[in-house]
Amino acid sequence: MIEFDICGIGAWSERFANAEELVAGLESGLWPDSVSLQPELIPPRERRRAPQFVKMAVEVMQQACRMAGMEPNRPATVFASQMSDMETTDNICRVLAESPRLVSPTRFHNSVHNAAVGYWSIATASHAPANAIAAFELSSSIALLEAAAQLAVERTPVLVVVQDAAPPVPFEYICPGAATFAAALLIAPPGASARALVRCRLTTSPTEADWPDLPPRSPDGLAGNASARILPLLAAALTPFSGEVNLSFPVAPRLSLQLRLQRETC
Amino acid sequence: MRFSISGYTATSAAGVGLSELRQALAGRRSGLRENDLENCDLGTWIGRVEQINSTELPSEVAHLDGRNNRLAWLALQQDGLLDALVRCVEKFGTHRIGTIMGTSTSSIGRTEEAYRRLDESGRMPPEYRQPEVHNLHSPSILVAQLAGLSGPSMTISTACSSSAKVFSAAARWLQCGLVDAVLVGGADSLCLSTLYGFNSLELVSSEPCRPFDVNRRGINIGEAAGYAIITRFEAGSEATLALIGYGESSDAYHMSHPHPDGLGALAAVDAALARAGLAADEVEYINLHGTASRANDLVETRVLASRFGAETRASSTKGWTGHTLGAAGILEAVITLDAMQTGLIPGTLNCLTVDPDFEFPVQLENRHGRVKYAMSNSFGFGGNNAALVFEALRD
Repeated sequence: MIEFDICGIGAWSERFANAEELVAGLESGLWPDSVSLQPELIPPRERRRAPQFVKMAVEVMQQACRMAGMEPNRPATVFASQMSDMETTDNICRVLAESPRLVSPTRFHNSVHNAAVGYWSIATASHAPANAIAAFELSSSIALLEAAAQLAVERTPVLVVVQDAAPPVPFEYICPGAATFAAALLIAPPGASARALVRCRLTTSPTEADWPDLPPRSPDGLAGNASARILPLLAAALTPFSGEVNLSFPVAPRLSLQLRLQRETC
Repeated sequence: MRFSISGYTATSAAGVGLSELRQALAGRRSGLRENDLENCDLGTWIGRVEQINSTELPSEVAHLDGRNNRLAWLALQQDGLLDALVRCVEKFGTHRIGTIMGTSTSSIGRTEEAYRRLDESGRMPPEYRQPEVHNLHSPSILVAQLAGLSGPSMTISTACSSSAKVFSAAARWLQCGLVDAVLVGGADSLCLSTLYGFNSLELVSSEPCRPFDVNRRGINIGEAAGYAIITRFEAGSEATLALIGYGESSDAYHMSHPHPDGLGALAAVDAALARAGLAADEVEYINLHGTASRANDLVETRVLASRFGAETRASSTKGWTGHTLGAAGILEAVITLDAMQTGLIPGTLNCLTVDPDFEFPVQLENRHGRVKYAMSNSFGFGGNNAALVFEALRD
């Protein structure tokens, strides 16, 4: 069993700019048509060079740290995505299919899966370990598992980011109709942060699990986004409940991750 | 901390499996060749694995076909690794064994091919519509299925430190009790993205790469795959090698240049030593990142000079294999482990005149001797650093 507090949450999509707007939208079912993205942490000059995929991550990471009241250079980072930065992949593969093959050096260094945590470490002057992982459709639950393992063994807060973008045409058949979604959770060892939203107890069990249903009034397009499968956890941590909430997520064909959430006061 | 390494293998341009690798290292025979990759006219040298061309995936995983997965499969069949995994499954049960692979580009070569054949509406043609191929997790999906492992499976993609970090992740999973064994590994194959990408950064050498040479002109890109099996250490076990330390850090400096003083690299090395409970002078051999880029080799020797003395032998093996990017961590961990096993400590190939600016003497010639403690360093884009410490468990 691994115990931790969820201390901060960041969220961004084209329908909500942060966790507060996410909660409001889930209550009302009303979503704005578009939401801007201008992460303050990335200096204006870098902002032009940074792809949208990096900006999303940095934005939600900063939101989570702010909510937790934690210095952004303190937590280790775990970034996860099923499909990574498809816009950058699409651009590079198109250029490579042409002649001459003029790959942009900036695009190329932005194409690494750890680009977002790299930009984050530069923007926050963080020397903390940074991981970038993928696990296909299980990317978000494996990210939670990896973050929890790191927290338990290294006794460090961990900032975990899960995100996937809407696919360009060649990748549409893999995640049809998916809308862009990014979320960050800042988790910390129990009691390490003064501002815990909920306490979580994580266990695994050798059983099959289905993904929990998305909240009923979720915006369109999130069902096709592997990263958005973490939304029920965000919703539970952000909305009032009494007693406890139990969630399970698949982490392997016959293995599930069980999360028991309790308000920290009890 | 101490975790047993109960089997390992690697395949690169320096050979398919350990026996060919040992012969290439002992004979100082480089696997690099002038670029002859199909559909690529860059004037550079590469580390290509010839046998990929004659490797076919088993029919049950035909839907995962692509160069990277063929390389991963070729490497998985060497050195009795599959038999060792069968014994692991018998001992622990399949769902208690995790799979953690490292890769920087996974099957992007296959995606590049698909993009040359997009139909009029911009879609991939039917034979390229492989959801489990065109994503980073592809090598782990393949390997877990072929090895019959059904525990949690994860792919780490942090550029050139990817398959070094698989060791630290595996150690944590084992320590938490999530699993009882982990197949760690890495696979990265030659593709246009990395060749033209590194070329755009002017980091690719037009001649065989010369790590630590005063006239080094950049990297040669290579391909490799490799594996190790890691379990919790049990007293009295037959294991002869152990992972005893790891360190991970971020430079917080630049996306594609290392920190000039190697601040992040040093933090990773220090963390690995601290976890191993070793003083720097107890480390007898270090397999360096040593890419032959101007910046890396200079910064890395600064890091060495600030921690290690001349009693520590340090070399780069990239003159044999090229820089295998996301597979460099596992390939060089395997070379380090095998040096501890065989007593052949590789030197550095193609380095004729050591750069006089270096403050640390890099080992050029091969040597023979027992190594009790060794380290392997990997540094990647985004300032992502990893260092590993291994121990030879003999009396």
